[in-house]
Amino acid sequence: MPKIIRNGITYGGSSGGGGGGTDSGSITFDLLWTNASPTSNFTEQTIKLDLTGYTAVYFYYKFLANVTDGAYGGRLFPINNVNFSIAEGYFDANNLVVRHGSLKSDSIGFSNGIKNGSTNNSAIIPYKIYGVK
Amino acid sequence: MKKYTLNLDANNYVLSIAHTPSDNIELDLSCYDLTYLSAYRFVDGSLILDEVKLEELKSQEHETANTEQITELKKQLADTDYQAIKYAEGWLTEEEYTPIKAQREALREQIRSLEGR
Repeated sequence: MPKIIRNGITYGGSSGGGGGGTDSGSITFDLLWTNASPTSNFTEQTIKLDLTGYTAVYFYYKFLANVTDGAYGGRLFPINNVNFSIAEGYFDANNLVVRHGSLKSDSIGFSNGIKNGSTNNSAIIPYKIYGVK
Repeated sequence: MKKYTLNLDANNYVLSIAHTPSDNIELDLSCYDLTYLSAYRFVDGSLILDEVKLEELKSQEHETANTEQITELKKQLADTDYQAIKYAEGWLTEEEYTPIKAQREALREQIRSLEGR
């Protein structure tokens, strides 16, 4: 069973013991970026981050800039120069927030947010970004 | 004061403020109302509020809110379309349809008002 290590904390099992199998490796989450103003709208931008050595990025985000309750989500994407999309519904299926972006080894690009089909930068606010290896 | 990493556009307007392993700019964020973050410019180690840009952002936000409200009202109107069809086909009486008709007209009036017509 794989170990999951997040900020130095290990989650999951280890080799042997109750699992009875071999250790297939570990997953480490390094916190690389934390939004210091997560209640602000998030405009289109590219964030320079050295993602060399990571195989994936984990985004932890708020559905909307002004939420104070539990409307948060998380997504994991591989780093291979591809575009990504984060889409979430809130309250009901008629309310949709979306943020597109692109991942490179040296940066993460975020497009403008979209709420119910219109540009709205209060939608999908990046809160924390982890490098995963 | 804490240290931060700023992401700025070509004109030094703030795109985002974050903590990263390479934080290098000291700021006291409690001094600023960051609701409209991108109205601030980073000049000589401080964040300076650009009042003109602030008004632009507020205006954009107002426009966005209007558009969202119009979309919602149109949806509410569309949700009662089937009742208008039932009335037209004779499945609802005049008495049954009167309050629905009034509600639909009120929705149209709100839409016209928000669209400035």
